[in-house]
Amino acid sequence: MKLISEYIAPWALSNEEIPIHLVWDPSFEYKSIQVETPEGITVKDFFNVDSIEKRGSRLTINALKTPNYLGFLVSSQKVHQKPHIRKEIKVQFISSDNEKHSHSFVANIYRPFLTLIEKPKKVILSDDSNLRNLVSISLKLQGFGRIRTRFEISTGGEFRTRAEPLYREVVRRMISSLKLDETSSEEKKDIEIDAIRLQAIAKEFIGKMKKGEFPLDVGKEDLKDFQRWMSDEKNQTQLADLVSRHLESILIDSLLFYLEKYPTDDVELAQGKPVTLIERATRGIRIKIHYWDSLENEYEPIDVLIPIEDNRADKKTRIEIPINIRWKKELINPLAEASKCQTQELKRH
Amino acid sequence: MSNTRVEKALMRASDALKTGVTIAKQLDDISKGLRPFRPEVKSFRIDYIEKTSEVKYLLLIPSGVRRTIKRKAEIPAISGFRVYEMWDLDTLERVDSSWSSEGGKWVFDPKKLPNSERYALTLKGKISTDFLNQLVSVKAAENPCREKGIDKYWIHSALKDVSILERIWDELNVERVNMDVKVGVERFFASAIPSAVKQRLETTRELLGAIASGDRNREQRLKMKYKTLQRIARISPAALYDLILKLVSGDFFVDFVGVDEPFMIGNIEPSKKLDVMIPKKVKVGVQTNLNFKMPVAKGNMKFERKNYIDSITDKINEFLPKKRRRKRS
Repeated sequence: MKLISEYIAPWALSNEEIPIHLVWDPSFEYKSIQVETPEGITVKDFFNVDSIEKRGSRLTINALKTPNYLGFLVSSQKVHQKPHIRKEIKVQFISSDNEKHSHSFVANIYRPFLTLIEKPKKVILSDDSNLRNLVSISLKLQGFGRIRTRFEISTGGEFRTRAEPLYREVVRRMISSLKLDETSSEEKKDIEIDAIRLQAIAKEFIGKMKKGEFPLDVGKEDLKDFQRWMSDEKNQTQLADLVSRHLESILIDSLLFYLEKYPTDDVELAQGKPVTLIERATRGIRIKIHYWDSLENEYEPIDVLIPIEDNRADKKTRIEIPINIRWKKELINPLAEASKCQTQELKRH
Repeated sequence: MSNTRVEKALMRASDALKTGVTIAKQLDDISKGLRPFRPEVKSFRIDYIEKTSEVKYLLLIPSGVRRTIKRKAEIPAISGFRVYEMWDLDTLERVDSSWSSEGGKWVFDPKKLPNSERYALTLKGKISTDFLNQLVSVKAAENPCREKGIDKYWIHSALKDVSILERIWDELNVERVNMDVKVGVERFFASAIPSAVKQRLETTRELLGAIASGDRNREQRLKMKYKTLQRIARISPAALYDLILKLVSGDFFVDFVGVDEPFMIGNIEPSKKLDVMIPKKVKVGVQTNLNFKMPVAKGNMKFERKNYIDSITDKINEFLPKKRRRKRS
């Protein structure tokens, strides 16, 4: 059997479709082709196949549409515990006198792996504490693939997800300018950027607010007033005007948010740098770090518990403390991994 | 693979067949109309980007045939194809005037032809995205592999089901089969923008907040801080935003990407999403032709990540106001 082309995509995440193909010299004769997949690997689609039969994990192709080309897509639908797994897929050509020509492919499936390596034993809060550097944790990213993280932070009761800072800031500022009744006092800023895009963003913000999606740390009374004002038909033009007047702030926030959202390669903090609010009677912070890969596969979250000792004179004042993260990375390079596997195979032969 | 999966795969094949049947039927109708001239398909081309198809027929119309034909030949226009051009292959002249469009039909009058025998007829048609999706598969790595400052993405394209075009399979060419490789750029600007610029943006944000809340003391304090910020950081947020957009545009990005043969680089553009103002990814179009001889294409797309970062860092620095030089006494 003379192969003209063979291929399997060299690396993939779980649920990523892995293309495989074989093209051979048309003079090669065979009766049927068997495709065998290991547990956890499914065939998502066949190319150029006319008739197929299934028995257990073995698929028998009795006819191809054009005689010298077979293609298919496989994927691993489970999220694995190990950062890298190898799965063998066998393709066998069976001739009329039962002679077999085997061909095997290896699917290399990777995942990102996040672990906590360091956290403070206890955080002591006093009146002269430097809040910026008070809470630091270290995380290690291993395996392969970009991650998106979301921090849920709780200081007692339920977990709360932080509102996008950009959005939070805008709402906060809009509410304060309403309260001060200075809707027309601030001069219009000259912003030379895509106006249509900005309009669309403004519309999106209004949409969010109308749906009642408000930042959590806006005072309840303010919020009620604002919602009442907003739902009044009379105020619609003013509302649009208010959002557009804050566009420069939106732009600055969006730039800053962007700059703090990607602390290191391969990591996205979906909500920017995490912060926690310390309120009266806060005894500890619980951080739940959720993370996903680029295909939205979700991995087991990390739970971090940090006890707090509040020694401030005035414990009633709410304070915001940023959570600093140090990143350590030990990532796998699938290309190097592939050549390592080849060397091992050569040694075995 | 469960039975339902096999069934699903077979159903997909049957869907492909349905779409294919339409094209096959259209081609049948055309062949019927042209039967007296012994039509022979010379090529069938599909342009993936334009979503168009083009069939080239060779027609043999000796003068004997021309005399004996009583009726004009007709192709129903609803076939989806239109007559694009007709050439006299003996004299190499265009003879489109023998065709006319009459009430939902393409009508061909062989009597209007010169005395030649061999003609080439080209028909063009539109095809749907569904049909293309059933005809070809395109896949690119979701995440790149990194080596020596270069990000590599595997890319693969393949013909999926050609039986629908079986009779013309030998002549089939699917051209410019395109896939978009999404190159993540989000992190690069975070490291290329000097910290002094970030600090200035932060101060501006705080200042705007203080003005809005009416806290005069804080406003005064922040205004002082604002004035003492480094001159090099004085860049307006709008200008910085525009600069970033320029650096993720296709014109700038194209110098940093490359593909293995047989692929070619196509269109490059930042992928825009409404919820983020700065694009996270740049879509790099990668194209190849697929045909009977080579129904598959494999390779890598390379992004010169290190060179790109160096280059955007330079561009940002060029853009920032320069430090004033002290005059030497």
